[in-house]
Amino acid sequence: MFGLGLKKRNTQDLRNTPIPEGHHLLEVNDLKMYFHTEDGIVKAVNGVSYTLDRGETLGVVGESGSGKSVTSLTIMGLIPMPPGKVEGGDVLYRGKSLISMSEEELEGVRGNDIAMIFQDPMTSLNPVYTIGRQLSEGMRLHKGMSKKDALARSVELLRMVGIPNPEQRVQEYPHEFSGGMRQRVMIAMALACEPDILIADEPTTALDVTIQAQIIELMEEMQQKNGNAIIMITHDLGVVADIADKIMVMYAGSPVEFGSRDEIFYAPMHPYTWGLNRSIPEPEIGEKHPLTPIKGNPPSLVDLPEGCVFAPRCPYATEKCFKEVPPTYVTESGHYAKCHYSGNAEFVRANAPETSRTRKVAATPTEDERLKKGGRAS
Amino acid sequence: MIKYIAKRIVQFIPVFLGVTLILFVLQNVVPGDPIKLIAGEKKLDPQTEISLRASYHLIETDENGEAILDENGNTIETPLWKRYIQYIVGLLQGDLGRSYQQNGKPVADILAEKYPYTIRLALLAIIIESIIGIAAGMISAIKRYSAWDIGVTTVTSALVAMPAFWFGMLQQLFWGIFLKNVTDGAFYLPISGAGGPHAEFQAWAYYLLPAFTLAAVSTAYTARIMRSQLLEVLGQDYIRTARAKGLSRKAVIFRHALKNALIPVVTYIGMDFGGMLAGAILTETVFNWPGVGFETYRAITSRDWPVVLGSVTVIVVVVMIINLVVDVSYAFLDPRIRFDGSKSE
Repeated sequence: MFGLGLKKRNTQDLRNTPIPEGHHLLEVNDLKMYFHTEDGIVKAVNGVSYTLDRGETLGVVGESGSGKSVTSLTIMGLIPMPPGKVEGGDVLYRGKSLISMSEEELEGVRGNDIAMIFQDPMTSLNPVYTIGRQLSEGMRLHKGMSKKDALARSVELLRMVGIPNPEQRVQEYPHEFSGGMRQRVMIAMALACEPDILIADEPTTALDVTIQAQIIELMEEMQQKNGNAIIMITHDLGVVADIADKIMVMYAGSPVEFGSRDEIFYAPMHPYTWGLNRSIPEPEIGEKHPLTPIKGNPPSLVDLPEGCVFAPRCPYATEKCFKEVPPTYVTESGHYAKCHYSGNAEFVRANAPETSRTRKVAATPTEDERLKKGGRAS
Repeated sequence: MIKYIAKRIVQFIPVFLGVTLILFVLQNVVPGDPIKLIAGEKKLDPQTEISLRASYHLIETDENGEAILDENGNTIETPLWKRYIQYIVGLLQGDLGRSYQQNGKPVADILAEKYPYTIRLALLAIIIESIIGIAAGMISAIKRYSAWDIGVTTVTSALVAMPAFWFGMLQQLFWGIFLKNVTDGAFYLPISGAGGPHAEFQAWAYYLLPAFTLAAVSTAYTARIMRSQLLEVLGQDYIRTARAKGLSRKAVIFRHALKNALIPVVTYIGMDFGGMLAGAILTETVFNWPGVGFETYRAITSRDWPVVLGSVTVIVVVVMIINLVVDVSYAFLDPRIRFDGSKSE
């Protein structure tokens, strides 16, 4: 009903173009996304930089409102403008700027080269169309598949993400699926066109704990099969502990620390990362490993504090922190932190938490098994 | 679904009996004797009066239709409950009684004559309402805060606030009188009646003003509901999913948003159609439209109770059927509707 024909795009699949010399699969350079509202300018993303290569997983960690989702939506070009506006920086995908792309070109990238999974699977599927139709859409659009072929492939995809009885399920409506099953459908939908990059925006937050591990495992499995990169956005450091290669910790719109998974867990340099680390619940919470919350709330993005944005909540803040914007302290490996004292090895050694990793992360048996099986354990 | 429909039809019975019973009691509570009304100024001779009362089943009669007299030689008034039962029995046989006026013409014949005009007018109005209302609402939502949107919201607010009869009169003034004067009689529209064998205009021309007047307020409501629904739907997560798939804005609106936004609009239009089939009393009266609404108005003002009762009875049935059709049609728009009366999610 009301069908508006899905014509195959005539734009090329960018993922088949080679990455130019000196470039990465995805490069985010000092990206700034501001929202112009009646209350003032909301600096939702304020200078985010990172690089990502094929097969890599980047974990983006931060509290609600730290700009982690907005960063990804900006990459996808899904921020309504206005009120949003890119105030600076760029996003390069295979050396091509996504920010300066035309809407039509971008539509060819979305769901095709870069796909996204959202937080709430309960509301992310259209209630009035069958799963099959919603799965087929992307393939018909980007690959010019016929309705029949796309539906057949949809059945395959559902089988791949572990939905039993896919031939029948493909004809069903979203309300006939459970939350975990819907998120599997979302993953199938995102992977339908074999994207280069999969962005997962808190894919497990709305799910039962028992389902969370399954979903993460599924995404990892798919990554091993397809070789795509994953950007995993979460507010839970524990979620990315096992799967991320790199982790970016965001606070108030900008990254405060970026490094490899091991660096973030074993050798974190920023007090905010320490705070997040101490907030991971442990099996043996007690005097030895107290669960320490980070006091206070993130600052208003309209009115960012002078100096270091984390200073008002930082237990180690000095006068300098409230006055001067901290420099970016970079180690040889590219591990960086934005703190005045990150370079002070003694300060870091004295105050950094005895990291979760050395104590072993709150791991369920299945996760342990998976670590061994996947051979990704540190 | 068949079970659901059957259940709903069974539910018609108490509603139907309730409405007719209330009306039946009402006509006996209001003062005035129908037979004296028929006679008007004239004095009826007693024999004629008795036979009239007998023919309307107001007094007890024998099988030949002759009045039964009590020991004092007086007629016996038929009790209300008995008349009600007689009415219902007659109804089931398609007998709606006879008018107190129009030479005792059967009510069924009167309605059969008037209903086609009402149905045609209602259909035309619904088509106008659906096309213009949905289109205006969509444009308004898609181009939010544009000149289009401001225009649509302003005009619809004005129309919603305007009484239908007054809007009808303005139309008559403009299209019928002002335009005739301005163009020196070259172009104008008929403002009264539905034409006839020797009419001045082609038959279709008579439908224009009444149909647009009847549709005006509903079109405005449809546009407003469409606008708010579409805006709400466009803010849903599944719209973002569709955009993330690479669908263009246009494809997202037509393929994903429209069907969801239409569900409440279809409900409104369906209910409205039921209301229009009940006869648009104001519009039909302003335009002297020979439909059920005008006839009901006439019957009420002249206390022609059998006609009032008959048309309301038919209207009740029609509205109930339309509502059922609207409810069943949900299932085709919204797969979450199950026919045990619940909405699953």
